[in-house]
Amino acid sequence: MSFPERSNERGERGERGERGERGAGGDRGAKGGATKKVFFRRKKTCPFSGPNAPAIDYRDVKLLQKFITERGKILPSRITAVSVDKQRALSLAIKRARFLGLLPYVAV
Amino acid sequence: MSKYEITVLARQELSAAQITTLQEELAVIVTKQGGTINKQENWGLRVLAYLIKKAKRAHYLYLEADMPAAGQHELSRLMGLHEHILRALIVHVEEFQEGPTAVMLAKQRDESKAAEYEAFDGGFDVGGDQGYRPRARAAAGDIE
Repeated sequence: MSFPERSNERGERGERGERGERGAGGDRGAKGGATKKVFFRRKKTCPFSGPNAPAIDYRDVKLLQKFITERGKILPSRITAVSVDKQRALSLAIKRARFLGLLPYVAV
Repeated sequence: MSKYEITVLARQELSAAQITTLQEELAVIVTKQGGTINKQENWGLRVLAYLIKKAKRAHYLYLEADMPAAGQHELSRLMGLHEHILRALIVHVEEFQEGPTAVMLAKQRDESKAAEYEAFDGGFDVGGDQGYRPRARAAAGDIE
């Protein structure tokens, strides 16, 4: 796992930003003050894993719609945080729903 | 014997009676192939997300059947030839889900919402002093 390393990097970059580009730092303005952690992202978890997670179902249009864009494209898992095997099942379900005319291939 | 989920898109101009006969036809095919039917649903007329054979809407029929693989192939072939069927999908599953499918649940939810909307008497009783509202009071016959 490279996660702790990455967060370290981010911290360093934040510091440098504060010293170098004074006034231009948008992060700094938002946070206010000399906080080292300028950027914190909550670790997302897979919406289909866990005790009362919904089942992936090609008939459940309302559920599948959360995982496609307005245009009808399948959202990448790096945005939705769906785990690898669930993303596979999800993409299959979306494709089945498209075949049945429940979801669009391309929405205008 | 394998478990299959079958969804059928039928032409929108079919009458309710024709839909039921189509449902029966499908059931007959399944039983003739040595299968059994677990569940049968009618999702009703739905708007398609895109045109399928120039149709904007279609009747959705759904059934769950336990039947041999050869029977599934025959059913698929017959559905492809059927005049009233726009499209059909057969999905092989390990286990059937219990209870009505997500589509039916959504439909029931919509219907109960619609009933609620119908039953709503059209206004809230705000109560208390509502200030000087001559027009509203005149409408209610309170003043001239």
